[in-house]
Amino acid sequence: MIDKKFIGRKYPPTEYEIGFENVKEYALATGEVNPIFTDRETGLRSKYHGCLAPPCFATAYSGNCVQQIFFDEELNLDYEHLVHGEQEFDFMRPVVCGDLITTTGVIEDIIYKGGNDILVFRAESVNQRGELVTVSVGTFVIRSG
Amino acid sequence: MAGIEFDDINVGDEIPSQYFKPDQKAIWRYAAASGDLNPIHMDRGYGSKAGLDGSIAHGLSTLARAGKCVTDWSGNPDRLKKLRARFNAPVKPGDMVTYRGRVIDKRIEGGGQLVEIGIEAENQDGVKVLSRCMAVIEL
Repeated sequence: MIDKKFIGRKYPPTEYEIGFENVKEYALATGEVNPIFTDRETGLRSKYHGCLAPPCFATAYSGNCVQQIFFDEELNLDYEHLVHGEQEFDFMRPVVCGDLITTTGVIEDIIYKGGNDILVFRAESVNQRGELVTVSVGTFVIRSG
Repeated sequence: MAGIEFDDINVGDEIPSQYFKPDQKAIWRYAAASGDLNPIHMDRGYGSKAGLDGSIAHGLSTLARAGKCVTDWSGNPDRLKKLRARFNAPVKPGDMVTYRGRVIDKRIEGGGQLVEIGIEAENQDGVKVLSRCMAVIEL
């Protein structure tokens, strides 16, 4: 069982600069065909003056922050038995290529249910103007045995 | 970008269905693009050891495509305000996932026109791969 003392544990902020090629690769890998994600000219002509990142690209720019829990030796999660149980994203503002995103994370809850440990991790991402762009709440299940 | 209008939407309206049929190459491609290189996705042998029959697709790629159903319909991706799901059953290479969405609520809240869409994602055997999947768009 994971010690509940880790509830509230905060992790250092991580930075991610939104790059066009990364956005384009992600868009193509998720079946997106909207040129606002993949075509520079379309992006430049849009009101955003650049290509948008698909909403779930939050996975990529908040990923380094989330991964800190997997490498936390004190928390010592059993990575081999860890599965992603639930995910919730709130999107406050669009993310545009060139943005510098800073993500901070906290363990929001630890629950023991049905013989499994459940860990809830909340990550908040802000852009270079300090505006909140995305809140990501991921629930990870560590299956016992 | 052209798109749907709040006044034209009714609770119960269906949004166009979409399909997702990943093969192992598509899973590798998503892994590279997202940065999630967990061997459970990358390596068929590892997946078998972990008690699964081969590798599985990333839950977040299944969720991203649920979001795509909504944004393809709503007309502008920055209209998507919320997306959530529970990863109910794994998606494996060769599976065919069908997404169906339906408007379950529309309301004006905090000065915004919000539309809530419930999404079902089932594999070829009728197993729900996502549950409690919903999205909110602001128009």
